[in-house]
Amino acid sequence: MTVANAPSLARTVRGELSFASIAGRTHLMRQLTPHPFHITRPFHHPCDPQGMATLYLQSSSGGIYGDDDLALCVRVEPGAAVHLTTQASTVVHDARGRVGARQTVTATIAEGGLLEYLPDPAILMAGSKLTTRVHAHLDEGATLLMADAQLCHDPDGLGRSFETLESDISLTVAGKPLLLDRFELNGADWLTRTGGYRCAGMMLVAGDLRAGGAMLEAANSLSGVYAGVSHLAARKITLLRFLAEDGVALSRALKTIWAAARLALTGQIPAARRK
Amino acid sequence: MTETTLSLIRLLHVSDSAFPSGAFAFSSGLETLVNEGRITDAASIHDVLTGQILPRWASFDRPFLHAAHMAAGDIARLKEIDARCHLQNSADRLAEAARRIGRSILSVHARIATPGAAEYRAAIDTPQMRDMAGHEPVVQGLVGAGLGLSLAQTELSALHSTTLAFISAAVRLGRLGAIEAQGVLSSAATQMAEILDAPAPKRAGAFSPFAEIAALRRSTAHASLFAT
Repeated sequence: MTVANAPSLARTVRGELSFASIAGRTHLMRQLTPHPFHITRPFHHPCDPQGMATLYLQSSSGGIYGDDDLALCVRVEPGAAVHLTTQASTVVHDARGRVGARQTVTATIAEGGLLEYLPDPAILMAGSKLTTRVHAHLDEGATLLMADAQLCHDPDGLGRSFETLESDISLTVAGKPLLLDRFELNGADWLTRTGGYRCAGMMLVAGDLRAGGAMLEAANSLSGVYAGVSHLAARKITLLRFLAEDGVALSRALKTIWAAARLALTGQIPAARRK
Repeated sequence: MTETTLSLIRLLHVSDSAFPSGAFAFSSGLETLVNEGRITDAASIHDVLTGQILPRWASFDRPFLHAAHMAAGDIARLKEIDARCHLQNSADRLAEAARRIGRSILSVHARIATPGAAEYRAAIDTPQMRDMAGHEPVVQGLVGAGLGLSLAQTELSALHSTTLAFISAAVRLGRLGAIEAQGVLSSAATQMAEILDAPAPKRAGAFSPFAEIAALRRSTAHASLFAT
């Protein structure tokens, strides 16, 4: 069967989450989570800032398949604070000749709002094709801390890589475009472009410039991690890009860099999120 | 003298390593890689050139150069392309290098009266635009058009200049001898031709994290010869 006449099993799914601050505590006010989206109940850590709600995104389907088209809109109302993460890494399965999966997250953060969007890495299985997009729209005075990371996995050990990865991360503040970080990559080029590292990631903070030095110091303290930080001061964006030798180093990097950023931004070390 | 001969002479003129582009001040992360012991020989320099520098030019710089060449003479459009380049260049030190080289090229061409150079230089000579405009591929595109170079010639010149600047940095860092440098250049030629023979990407993007991270890292253990 050719790609052209492969039957489409596309799942086009739209989810929504909306958070608001009521009396200094952030609540999940609206949720639309059709299959395969699934969420845990929000909870609060005492040392988190401004009544932050923590919510785990889950997939009830075991990953992203063939030509899935999954979109999630997240809204953080004025003064609310949200830590949005995943229970585990998202497995992007072999596309098996289909067009590939699309995953889009659109975040809107109002004045005084804080969103930490920290999904676990995407595991790009051999043969997978993924288009991932994150569009964040910040009002003046809003803060975003987000991560994006990938690792490759060839379960049969046949030397197959993922097929394609396309990534767009765009930021606007008060409607003005501030950043578009994008790339398209064939999986066969992965190790060449990463200098041999199996995993890659980035973490950025928008709306606050205080965390860059701490994030880099944290990354540099880890073995098996190679990192550099970009200070886009006029745009109030700090972007840390890093490579990691393996999944363990990648996971450790995400946790450590996030904790350092949070400490720099709020003065408090966050409680580790159990996964 | 034919138009073809004249454009070839101009192509050689702007592609010469003696042309004062300011690119000599940048190593695209190579200096950090050398200082960190990640680059030790001609083979690893070849790997960075073909695995990082050339792909980044092909996927990121080339679409902006292409657009600027097509838009030459349209100041408003050129500023839009420059703004887009600014928006997409997320590595501060690489962005700064691109602006410094671009503005240097623009300044030279304004002085030697290359059509379109002085006008664009004046258009971006404001405090607000200083850190946002004048990126190398945009300037290369508009200058190439101003000189009467075809798009293909302009792209060839830009890719050649990028490659030479990198190899020159490797030589000055003492990691390549003169003959080795020619060997690396020679072995990269096929990939350069493949890049130029392929259509330019419709949308710019870059994934060369190894060299990009190296360019972002500020060496504290060594005095730096280069700005990146």
